Amino acid sequence: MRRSTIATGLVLAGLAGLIFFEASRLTFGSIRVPRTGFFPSILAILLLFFSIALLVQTRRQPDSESREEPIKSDAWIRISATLATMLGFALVLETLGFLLSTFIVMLLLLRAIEPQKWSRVIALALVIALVSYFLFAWLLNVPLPAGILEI
Amino acid sequence: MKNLRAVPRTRHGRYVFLVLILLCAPALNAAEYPTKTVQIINPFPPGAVTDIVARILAPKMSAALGQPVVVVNKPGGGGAVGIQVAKEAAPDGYTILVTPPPILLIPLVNKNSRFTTKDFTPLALATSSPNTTVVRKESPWKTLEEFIAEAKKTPGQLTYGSAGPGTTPHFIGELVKMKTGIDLTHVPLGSESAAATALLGGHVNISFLTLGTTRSHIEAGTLRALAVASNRRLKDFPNVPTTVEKGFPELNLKIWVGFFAPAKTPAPIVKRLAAVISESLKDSEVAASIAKSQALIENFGPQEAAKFLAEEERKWSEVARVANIAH
Amino acid sequence: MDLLANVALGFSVALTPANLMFCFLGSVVGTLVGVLPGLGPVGAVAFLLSLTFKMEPASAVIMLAGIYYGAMYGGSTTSILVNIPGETASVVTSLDGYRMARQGRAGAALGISAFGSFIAGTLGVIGLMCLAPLLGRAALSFGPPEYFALTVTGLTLVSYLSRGSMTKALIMTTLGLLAGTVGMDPISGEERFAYGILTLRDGLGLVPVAMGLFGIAEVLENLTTVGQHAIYETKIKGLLPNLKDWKNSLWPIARGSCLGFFLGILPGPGPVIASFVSYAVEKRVSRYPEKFGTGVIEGVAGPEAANNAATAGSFIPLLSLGIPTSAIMALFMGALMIHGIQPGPLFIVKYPELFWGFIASMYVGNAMLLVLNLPLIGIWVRLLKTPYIILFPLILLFCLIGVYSLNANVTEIIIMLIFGVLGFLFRQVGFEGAPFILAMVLGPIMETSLRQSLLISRGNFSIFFTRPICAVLMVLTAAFLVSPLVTAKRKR
Repeated sequence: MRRSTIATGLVLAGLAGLIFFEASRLTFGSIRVPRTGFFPSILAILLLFFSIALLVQTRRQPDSESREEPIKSDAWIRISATLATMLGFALVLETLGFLLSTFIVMLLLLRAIEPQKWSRVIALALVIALVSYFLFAWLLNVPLPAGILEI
Repeated sequence: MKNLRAVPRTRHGRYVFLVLILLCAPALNAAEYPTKTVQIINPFPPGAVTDIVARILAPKMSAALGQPVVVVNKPGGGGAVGIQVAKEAAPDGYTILVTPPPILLIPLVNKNSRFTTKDFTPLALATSSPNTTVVRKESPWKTLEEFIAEAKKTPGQLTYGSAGPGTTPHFIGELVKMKTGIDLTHVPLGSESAAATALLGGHVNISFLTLGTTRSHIEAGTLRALAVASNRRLKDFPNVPTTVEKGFPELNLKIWVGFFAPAKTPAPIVKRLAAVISESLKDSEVAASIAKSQALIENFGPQEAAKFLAEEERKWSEVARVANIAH
Repeated sequence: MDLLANVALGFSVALTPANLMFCFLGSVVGTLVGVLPGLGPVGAVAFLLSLTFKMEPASAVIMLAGIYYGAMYGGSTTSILVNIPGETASVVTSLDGYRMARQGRAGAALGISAFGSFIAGTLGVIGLMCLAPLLGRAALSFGPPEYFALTVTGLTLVSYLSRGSMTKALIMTTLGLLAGTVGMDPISGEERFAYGILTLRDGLGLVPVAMGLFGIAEVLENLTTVGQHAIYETKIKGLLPNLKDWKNSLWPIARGSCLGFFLGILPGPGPVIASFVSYAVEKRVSRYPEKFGTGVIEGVAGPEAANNAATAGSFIPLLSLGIPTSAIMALFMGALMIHGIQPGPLFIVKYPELFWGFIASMYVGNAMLLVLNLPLIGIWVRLLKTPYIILFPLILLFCLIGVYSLNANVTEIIIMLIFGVLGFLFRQVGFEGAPFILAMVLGPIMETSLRQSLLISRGNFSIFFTRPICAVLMVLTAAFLVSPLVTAKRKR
């Protein structure tokens, strides 16, 4: 816990520096007439201040709280697979269209979270894709991308 | 030998055929157009004047084209997001754009804008709404002259509210400053209704807003119209003088709503769409609905619209240059 | 007497079979929309707006209003059940509501939120009926300086939103304020931190960010422990709030209703702010503030009441002045305009049957929603027993579709995923999301109103202290900041 907090503090301090640099390229204006860069610059300084405060506090504190259990490697795989699937959905949605993308994303998500029989996964994904299409497109009138299936 | 030669030849032939198809594609499309749903992109939120006009016209256009016509809202960036989406759409007549002046104003304000009016072909200038110069009921100015006199006495002290930097009320405010020689401080408020709110609360002194926004307040007397941008006095407000009467013909401004297609859309399709929009605007049911939504029908065809837009562009570039709006 | 006659007129409009049906339809669709994450009332009203073009104007607004407050009712459901705010106004509800659900008290949380919403909604409508014209004018006295003062007061609430380290909460607040600066500078039109990404020009969307930080992060965190232990207490403790719950919730509901109603009148994201304020107030007056965030029913009852009362309040500027104060009010205005009716100062006089019919339908709608939502609680609670291998993919899918449906924009899905990962990492190191969201809501208002005020006053800061409302708010802020110190001293 303590080590990760220190790491976070350092990352945030670095981020503050980066934001301050980026904000300094915008026009600052003056205290009387603040311009675009005014607000972000002040916030970046505040962020730097708070991250230093966090680092100081953590150094002073004894390492009392500790995480119950570190995340296992198979959990990391699960998380990455899930995220990659969702990112894939974002990328193919407008070309493949709603129905096909939803079907595929459900296939992969169901498998990513826990390996199970393909037949079951396919059936589930198909039902979910159709029901959500009915719900969003038909019932709620949401404009959804048709894609290559043209529906 | 024979077989070996045959393969490349067929492949070659296929390429030629493909190229031919690609070359013919626009022509083929035009002959059959439309074969699928036509999308009208509205770069503003639902309920905006563009949305209302497009939705009134869509069913009539659909009937004339024999294919569904749907309005798709792509709001964001003061219209920039949707306009850019329309620019990047395939120029096949299945994606068209409905937009007010920002299509012209955004490139003037934002040097990094990724579109200009050159990326589009006008199909029609459908409707317009006159601009009104309004002050709050409690304010001391009864006429435009009184306001101008006061502003001349206190340069930079009086404020005008706009819908944000680079919006029509902002450009009009700057044009007013140029043409009347007064100095007002610009306060960007985010939207026309926010500008009206700030005006009603007395937080800014004057605003230049569309009649659509101010009408109910002028009727109720909570806002006082010092002038309306029009050639003739409005039927509903015979007591409100026009900018022309007041000696400022350059301030005769309308906030128009136009339809555009991506620049490379084939001419036959542009012609077809322009004709369909023009016909739909003549429909009596459409006319009644548009009148109800506080807009006036203009119904300029492509050539007329292009001419009008060129004039608009000239006028607003001048304002952008003099007022140094761009960044 | 006049009021009675008007109310009678209103009910004569609202109780026609057709309008009753539209009211019911709106409530059902609204509840559905509220339950689906992402797709909030704005989206739903927008998509269904075109259906109302052919209806009578009264029926149109009655149905759309049903969708709006139905969504506000339903929005808390996913907040409580799976920690995904159905709409931003229910971010706060998830703080204690979700904890309750994990303790097997989802029924009580959902129940109190339904009853609280009903009570607040009804009180809000009464307020709307009696005070509409009066308060509409009062809202006008809020100019840029008043907004700035309001946001300053609002930011002090952060100290009530965090359970852990104050430094961490302040860091999250600053990050939230920074997130709010992304996009086009509303005063000068310059781009900040957008790096050529078109979607970012308009700023980071509140909904994708909130769904990422809360919903996606929650699922990701649960994925780390899949199969090791159950997420929800399997024993369900009652489907409705018990007597003790009621006793604890009554005052929070009353306070939340008043707060929500008045904050709802102000332009901007009224319901969101109202829910945050109510939470802070409840924590402040509570005898056990340290328990907030662990599943305290007051933390659900107050904010839920507040955001529903704010719904009623937010109609006031539109109906009495013709000013749409939010995206959803602009939609209502559009719906009326298409029928040739322009809301404005004369609206109530010119269209009494429309105004009073609309108000009466809100009573009817509130009652319908209560009747509709109570039986649903049983179903929702049972849904939690869905095996996680189906529940998680479904939640993720609905997040994906919901966010996409907002603006038909794929980039927003990616934004949601990025904030999901960030939220997950923040949780690992003990940072909380609520201060971030509050700061992100308040930040842009704070910056623009500060700069607008200085434009108006020509750089003179006294504008923030000489105007009466500003002065009151500044004194309030000072009191807020000093009071914890005073109590701390007394304890010593």
